[in-house]
Amino acid sequence: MMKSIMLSRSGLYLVEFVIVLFVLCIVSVIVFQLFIKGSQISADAYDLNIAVVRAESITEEVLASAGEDAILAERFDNANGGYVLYYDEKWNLTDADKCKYSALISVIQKDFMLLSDVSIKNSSTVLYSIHTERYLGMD
Amino acid sequence: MLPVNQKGNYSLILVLVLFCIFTFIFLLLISVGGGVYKNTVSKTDESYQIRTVLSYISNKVRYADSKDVQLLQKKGGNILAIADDTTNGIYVTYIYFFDGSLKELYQKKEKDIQMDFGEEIIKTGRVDMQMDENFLSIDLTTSKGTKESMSIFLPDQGSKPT
Repeated sequence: MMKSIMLSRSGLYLVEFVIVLFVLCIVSVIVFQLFIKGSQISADAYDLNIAVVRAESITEEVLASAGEDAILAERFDNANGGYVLYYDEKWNLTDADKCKYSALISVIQKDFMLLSDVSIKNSSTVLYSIHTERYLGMD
Repeated sequence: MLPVNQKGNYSLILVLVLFCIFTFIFLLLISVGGGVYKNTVSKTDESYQIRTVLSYISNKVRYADSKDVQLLQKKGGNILAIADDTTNGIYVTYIYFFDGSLKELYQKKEKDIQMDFGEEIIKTGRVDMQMDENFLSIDLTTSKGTKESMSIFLPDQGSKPT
């Protein structure tokens, strides 16, 4: 009688542990997914932050150039009627074949206005873009 | 057929094995969680430094008339000076890097600059500022060593660095 009680107790422990382990496994899978998602969001936020800084900086340079091709070509690479800069995964300037991010710059002069669009992209999506207009004066 | 006692022992070993697996998963979860949290905090802190320093200086400069913006050369590093003509005379906002922090000092133009009197804006690695023709360049090195820079166009920059 005593032996059967001891056996059933350890059997119960076993069943209890299996259930706990099963629940832990399910929770672990969910928590790991949350960790990965959190890490991804954090990395995206960092990229967005850098993209905003780079876009603002490029815009300032475009506005300062007053749309003069010679100045823009000195600072940026020509691409498809606009200009471009390439960045690697650590946001250092690099070549087109090694790039992870790129800045596409479009500059148009219309009447006395300088219109510029700067878009910072990664391989698939636009991270940030700015449209600016500057009055160049009537001279 | 195993004796009942031996069966009990096997069950006990099995329970112990399961307990070890449980502990291992639990520790793994905590260690991965800790790593992710550390990485997130580090990235957030870096983003905060970059955004705060560059936005703060650029907004101050854009808010002012660009001809009132000057860069003063000092021993410890350059000081950005933004003059403000008030009814009580000319006051100047000095923004500079000193003692591991970006600081701001607002005082009358005639007064000497006491670097340690400045209000701390943010602790960071290093901030260097350069003025080149119509551009103000801000070079930031975060406390983690990441470098980021920004250029600000000063359209009516008449004053020269002193």
